[in-house]
Amino acid sequence: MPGPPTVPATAAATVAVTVAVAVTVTVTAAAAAAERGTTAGVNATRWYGLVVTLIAALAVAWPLTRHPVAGDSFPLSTYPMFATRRKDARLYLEYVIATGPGGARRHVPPELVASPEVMQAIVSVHAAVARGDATGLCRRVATRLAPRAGYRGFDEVQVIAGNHRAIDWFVKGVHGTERTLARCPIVRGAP
Amino acid sequence: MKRALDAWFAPAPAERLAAMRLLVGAFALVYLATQLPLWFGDAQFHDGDFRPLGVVRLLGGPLPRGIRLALPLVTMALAAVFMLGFAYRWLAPVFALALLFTLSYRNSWGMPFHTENLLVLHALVLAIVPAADAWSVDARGRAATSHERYGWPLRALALITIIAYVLAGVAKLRLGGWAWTDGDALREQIAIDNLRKHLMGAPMSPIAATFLEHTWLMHAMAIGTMIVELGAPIALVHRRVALAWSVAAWGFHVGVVALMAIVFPYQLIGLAYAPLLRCERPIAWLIARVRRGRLKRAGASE
Repeated sequence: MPGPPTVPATAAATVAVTVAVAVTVTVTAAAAAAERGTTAGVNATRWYGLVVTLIAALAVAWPLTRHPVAGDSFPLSTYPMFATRRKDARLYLEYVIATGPGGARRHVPPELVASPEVMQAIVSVHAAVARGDATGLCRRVATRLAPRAGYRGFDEVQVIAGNHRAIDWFVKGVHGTERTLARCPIVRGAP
Repeated sequence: MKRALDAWFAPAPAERLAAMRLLVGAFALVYLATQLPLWFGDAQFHDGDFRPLGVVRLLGGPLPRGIRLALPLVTMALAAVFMLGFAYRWLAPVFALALLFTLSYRNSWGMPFHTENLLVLHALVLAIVPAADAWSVDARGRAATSHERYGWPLRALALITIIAYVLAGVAKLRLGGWAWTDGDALREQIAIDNLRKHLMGAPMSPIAATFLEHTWLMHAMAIGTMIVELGAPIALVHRRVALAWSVAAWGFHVGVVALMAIVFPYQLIGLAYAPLLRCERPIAWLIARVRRGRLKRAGASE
């Protein structure tokens, strides 16, 4: 994997602001010229169009100069989705489940864990585990589940680290291994 | 060179560019509205997860909660003004910058979403071109014309879409080489994505498992994906080619929904490809229909 960015954030921000100001001034001047019509025999509309088109095309293509994964940003992206090989379709993932009597088990949906967006929730769970806050995350999720009717049959939340081969899971029905990182009860108030 | 320039600056009706303004503004408004629960829920915005991207890197840290809650609301209000085409020269750039900042902030929590890039890039260009010379408050009482100043912005928007697709193809080549087309990488990605969703308790594709059993299908899909992405520039050649490419690219996103339950709304609604097409026609039809209805009602009341 590539290393961290070599340009400090402050330097990048300074460059970004300078470029933004320069672009704004250029575009505004060109827009004013375009409105006046032709200048010195040159069609100002075309000059303005060429400047904007060129800046837009160069900006959107600029991520080509960066690493496809480490250089991804927003809105100027390298678009690395679906591009990388994942050997054996191996998936290490931390996730949250609710458990209950008799082996009841349900994977807690992302909106009750961190965010309605699955990928965002995955990042949040991983970050919580990485900073040693698996128990805190467990408790927060348990608090959210406590008043929900759909989770009345469950009495515990677990944060799990799973290691699975995704193709084997779907094609052969073979599941990998799981390790419990944190567990906490779903505490419900008196009726 | 002159022929290429003439083609790039070929005139287009003011309504076509105005249609892009209306469509992009409406999309931004509805999109942000659907995202409000995410903004108002605090779970995603844990300070420790803040990974600033793009313009958000200018911030020293996460925004106070009040400002964060105001961001999408202010941007929605500006999107409405952008759609209306009121004081466009001044307020459209404000909207575009607000949208850039708002979505960049949302993407600054560890996971950039590639579903929003084109929306922001198109809005930024639309904000600095005469997209409110028709169907707008600013253009009331003025007759819309056809002019080269309305043609090149549409081509610039189309070029942005095309470069984005080419970049996606290039990323696959840079990371996997031509071997990416054997379908193994795509098969692994589809399997992992669906298992991730299953383990996270989210809906997954009901047909993915069936597809994963047939490696030849993955091979064909990988080749098709690469043709669509690297072949995107052909869309600039001719309107009919553009239509064919747009349908193919749209089909690719339908496939992504079917196999990974990943929704690219801007592409699926067709807005990413609208600059390549006569996008003013559905809106002109709608406006004509509303006007006919009004005339009928006025006639009936007299």
